[in-house]
Amino acid sequence: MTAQDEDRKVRVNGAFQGTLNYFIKDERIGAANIPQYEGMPLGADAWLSVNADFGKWRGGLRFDFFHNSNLLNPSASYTARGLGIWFLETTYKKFDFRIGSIYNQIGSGTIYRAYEERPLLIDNALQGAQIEYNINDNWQTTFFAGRQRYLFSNYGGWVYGGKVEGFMSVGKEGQIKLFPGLGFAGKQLSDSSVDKLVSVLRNYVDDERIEEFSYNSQAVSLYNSLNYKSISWYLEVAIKLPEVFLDPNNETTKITGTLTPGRFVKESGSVIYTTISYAKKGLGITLEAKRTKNFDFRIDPTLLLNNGLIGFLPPMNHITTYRLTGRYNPATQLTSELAFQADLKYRLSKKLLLNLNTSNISTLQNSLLYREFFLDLKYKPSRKLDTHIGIQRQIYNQSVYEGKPKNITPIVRTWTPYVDVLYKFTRKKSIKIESQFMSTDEDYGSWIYLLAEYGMAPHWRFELSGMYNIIPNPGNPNIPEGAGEKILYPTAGIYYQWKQSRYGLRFVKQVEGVVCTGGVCRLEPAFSGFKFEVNSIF
Amino acid sequence: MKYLSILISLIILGACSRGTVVVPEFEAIESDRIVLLEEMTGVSCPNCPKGTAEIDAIKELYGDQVIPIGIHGFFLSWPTKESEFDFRNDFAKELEMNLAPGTSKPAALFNRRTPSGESDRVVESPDLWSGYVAEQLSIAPKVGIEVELAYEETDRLLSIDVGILGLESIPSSTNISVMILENNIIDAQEDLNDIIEEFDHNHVLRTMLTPYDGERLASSIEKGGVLNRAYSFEVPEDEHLWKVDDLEVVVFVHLSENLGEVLQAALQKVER
Repeated sequence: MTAQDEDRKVRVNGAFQGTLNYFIKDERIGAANIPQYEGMPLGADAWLSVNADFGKWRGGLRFDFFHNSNLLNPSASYTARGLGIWFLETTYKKFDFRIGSIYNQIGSGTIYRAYEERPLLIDNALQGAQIEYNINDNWQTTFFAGRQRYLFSNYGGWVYGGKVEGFMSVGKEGQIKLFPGLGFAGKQLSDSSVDKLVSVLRNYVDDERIEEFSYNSQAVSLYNSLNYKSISWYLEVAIKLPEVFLDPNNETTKITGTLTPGRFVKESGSVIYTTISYAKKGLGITLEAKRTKNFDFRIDPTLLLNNGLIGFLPPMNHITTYRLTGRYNPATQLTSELAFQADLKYRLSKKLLLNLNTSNISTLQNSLLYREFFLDLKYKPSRKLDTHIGIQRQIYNQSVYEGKPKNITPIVRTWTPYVDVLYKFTRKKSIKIESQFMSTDEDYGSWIYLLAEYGMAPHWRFELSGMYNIIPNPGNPNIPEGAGEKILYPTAGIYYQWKQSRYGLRFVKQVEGVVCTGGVCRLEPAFSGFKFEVNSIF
Repeated sequence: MKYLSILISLIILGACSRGTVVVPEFEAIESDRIVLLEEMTGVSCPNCPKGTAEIDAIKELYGDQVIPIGIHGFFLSWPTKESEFDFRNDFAKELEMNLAPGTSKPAALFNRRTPSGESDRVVESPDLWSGYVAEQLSIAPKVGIEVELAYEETDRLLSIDVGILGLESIPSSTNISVMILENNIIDAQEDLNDIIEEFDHNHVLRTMLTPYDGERLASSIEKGGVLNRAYSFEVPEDEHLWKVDDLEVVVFVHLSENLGEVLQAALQKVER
């Protein structure tokens, strides 16, 4: 077959992801009082993607289906279906063109990032057009414009931007490699957003009044990666020109004289983000820092939570997969944050790997938001045995991250030791045991978590776990009615893999908590019920 | 490259084609329309005092043109550890479940219409409420409502006579809802700092004299047509609650289907 024949061939591939939830009311853990527990027990979310290639052309469609879904708002029911995204792209000489739904980012995403996080039902693809121009082998430029997707529609308004990125090597024998970039992103408010903003601002008292604002606002970002031998350094500086945004740390004076939290202000913003890492055999060190001031950059300033954000600010804590060490997550603060993180990986011997991590997050006024110390020791004496033992210390400002009353919500302080053992009986059969204990006097009190997972490769995996509120904190006024007792939150699951498809059936009881995916977080209520999951590619 | 430069210039020009918005001063709106503002709230909701403050400001701006109703249904409506009373009732629960299922709080509906620029009739940001009240005031009422109250001190019997006048012809089926609200209930409320032990709760939905979704008024209303309804209610005796001087009766006419749009509302204070 010649290359020309190959070009004439249409290649089709796709993927299906679906979850069926059956909600079972359990007032004791707070899994109640939302539609799914009060008469609409069956919920489903599904995505079917189909992509095709034909020569220089590539296109794709994604159908989305939601029925009584709790993904959009974990406390509500969302039902809709239709064409989620579509795209068509091609190349012509030095140009790459794409129309439809576009995912892209500038730098680390600070001023612009279009991305998808299905567990939180975030998909803010740009609905528009993008052109990439390859200036030469080392430099390329990209421009895009369109509307930001929201569910099966968009937020209105326009988002536009561009970037120039390249590669240079300098120094003796070109040992220093630079990957510089310069980007800008702008937005134009929709008439509806302007009307909403006017309706708010015209009620402001004189001292807080904003006389005028613009339909347009822009942000620019300068970034660079530098690689020299074992050192890698990334630096990004982003500036947002003055625009109106909601500052949650400010207060509005109502005409009645009452002060209420949150005020729209017109100010500029900035983010400085840097990470430097050093790696050589057996040793890896990474240092990260981020300073954020007034960087709430949204397509509509009146939107709240994760809605309408144009950029993405990376989280600055250790990402962990364990249930209890991942219970308290510091969501990125958009208006005032100073964060540092250090990570060390050191191979003590052939069998022992040490990981130390620490992070510290505060406001720009030096009020502590989050601090973490994490130690993990990996011991792998043979192919059969892989163990982790570790401990985490967290200091977590729950009232800021979860919006709970300041004076009755103490800072949560935890110690969480854990042991994780994976033993392979044979090449196909393995067992994994996880045990964690979280000691804390705050929030729900102390927890113990045990998990056993038995794998029969390549098809079956069985999971049984339980999270138990071993020393509850019934005096906490923040926890739901009925909670605050010694409650077991069990999970049992069966997973089956067949060719390129994976099926899972789980019974889950899950405590309320902050759930983060890809650095984006939200507070989710307790869950009780069955989940049937399918993931398939074709 | 030449074409690319032109395209970029067009994008930038297009982006800057719209200029500056000057924020106008607040202007009162003359209207016969009354806006029913149904607020989903709760005493265990730290953000809800912001909703209360916004409603107070709206009342300051628009006075009796707005009728706020505090619906303490499910979410975050359970009593705090300091609460003396439980404001939840079956009507509030049904209304929350059917009007604003799973909403975050505070949230509000304005005549049960979807405001322009919103995809849902439930608006969760209190900052926007005032604007949506103004929007509703610009819509002419389709019916007029007169309410007369009589209260008998001896048997605590409240009689309510309602007259409804069609201001224009309404071909759709309509329902009538009658609510009893109570003001000045001093009890605990969470805010972003603490549990406020002596918070002044107003416009609290205490009960309804119709089903939560109203009772059938007419299959259609003619312009000039008059409809009358009468209700009675024995005010419960209670040491702390059901204080007659703090009670209000709210009557509103709305489209029957799916707790539909409110066409007009009226409020009368109970007087001895």
